[in-house]
Amino acid sequence: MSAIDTFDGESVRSRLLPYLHGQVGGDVEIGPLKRYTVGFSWLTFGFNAVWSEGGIRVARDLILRLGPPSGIFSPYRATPEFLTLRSLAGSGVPVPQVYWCCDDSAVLGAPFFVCAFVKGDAPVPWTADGGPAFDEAQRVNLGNQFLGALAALHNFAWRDMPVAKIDGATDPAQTAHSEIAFWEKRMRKWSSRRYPMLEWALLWFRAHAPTAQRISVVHGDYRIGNFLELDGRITAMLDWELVHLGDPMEDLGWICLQAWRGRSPYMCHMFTRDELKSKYEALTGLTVDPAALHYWEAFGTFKLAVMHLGASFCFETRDFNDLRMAGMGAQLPRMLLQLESVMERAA
Amino acid sequence: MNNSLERLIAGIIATLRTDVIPNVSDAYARGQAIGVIDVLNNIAPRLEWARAPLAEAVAQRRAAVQAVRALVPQAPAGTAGLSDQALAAASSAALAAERDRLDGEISDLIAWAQSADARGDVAAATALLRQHVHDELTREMKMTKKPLFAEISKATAGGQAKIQDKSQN
Repeated sequence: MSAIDTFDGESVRSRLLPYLHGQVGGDVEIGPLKRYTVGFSWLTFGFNAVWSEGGIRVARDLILRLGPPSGIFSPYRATPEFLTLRSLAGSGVPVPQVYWCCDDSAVLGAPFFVCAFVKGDAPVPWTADGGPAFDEAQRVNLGNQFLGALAALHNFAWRDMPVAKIDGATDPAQTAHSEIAFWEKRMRKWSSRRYPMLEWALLWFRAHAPTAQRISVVHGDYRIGNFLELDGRITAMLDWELVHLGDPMEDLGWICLQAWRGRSPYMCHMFTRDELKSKYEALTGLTVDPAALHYWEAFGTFKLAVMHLGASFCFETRDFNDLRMAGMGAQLPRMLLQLESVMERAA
Repeated sequence: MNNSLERLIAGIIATLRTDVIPNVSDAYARGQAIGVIDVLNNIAPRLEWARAPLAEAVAQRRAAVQAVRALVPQAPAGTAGLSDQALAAASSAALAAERDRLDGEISDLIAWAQSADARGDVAAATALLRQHVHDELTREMKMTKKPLFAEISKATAGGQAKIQDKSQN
């Protein structure tokens, strides 16, 4: 079989058709694949498929997600995200319905999964003037749904579900150390240059690692920009590629990053820090220790800085020509100053 | 900047060729885009990163290392760097390599200062290193323009396409 260009819809479609034929156990028709050019990591294609189930015609608008060999987090695995979405179906976390998943790169040239197309708009954290992304009513409405879904995720009884198989730490004393090791490994891979600020941060994180109150499914990138909204309703939480088992405070700290609010006083443009704490505590029964929240905010800023290194590495070495990645690399000093600032607040 | 000049120019040209020019319908604009490639092809072999900011970065790091070593002479020595004479004649690439070597030495000093082996005026050395890191990042920020993420997002997701384009990522 010839090599497949995972960026080319026709090329992917020619391989997807026989795969789906095997999955549905009969004839299947699929329309052209449209590539959505958002995101920096997984490739996203939309398509329509028609097949038969028990003699009944089924027509669906679907999404194909591929983890390309040239992507930042390559080599990818589709299984963790697939198992998570499958486990969360019917929970209080709005997620797309998943259909099929394959980690064998021989099939489409990259690991992939197929899920339902969900309508909605993804509000982004970056506004033209750096100000609020929402008016007051939107802020409260979306904020309540956003936190409700997060609480449902962190309250989710995962131990007897397929999601229990995903990576992460289940020892409450090791959740932070596990994440430190994960991101340090990537930092070393992506940059031979050692940045004193990042090295300093690693020492600090090791010395101040908190113990988790609970082990939960952690989204890993839970923020504005990663949910769909339609007519005031959050229709889906997206981008589960960093999902793992760990300390739920990690997601809370990530929400507080400066990068997701610009000059807005609201975390992720949706709530004050105090609102975040009180509402989350009421929904989960967990106590939000301000020191732990600052710790995970600092760690999240470190993680985002390391992602910037990943974007530079990917652009430099993998012929990934998306200039947004080079642009991210140029912003590293800004990220490192934010890291310094949040570490000072956390200390 | 975190990417090499050579790769940035190659990436800009590839993006224009593959993603931009095929989608430019106006003939004059298409010709201008090809003109950008023509100019980039010709200036690429003549370009290197500005030498002055790199020389300043090296000078600031050397000064910080020397000041710290005066406070904590027991700290482990770093690897040998460029001599003053070699620095004066160094290319931009050599200066960048020396900057990176010094960043590694500073990182080692930070780790040593926080270890059980630390001796001497460690508190003053730590404060000096902290101030140096802050000053260097601030200096870098003066050359870093505000990102255009808002404009990029708006351009990527305009109109009805926004609903679909952002639907799954």
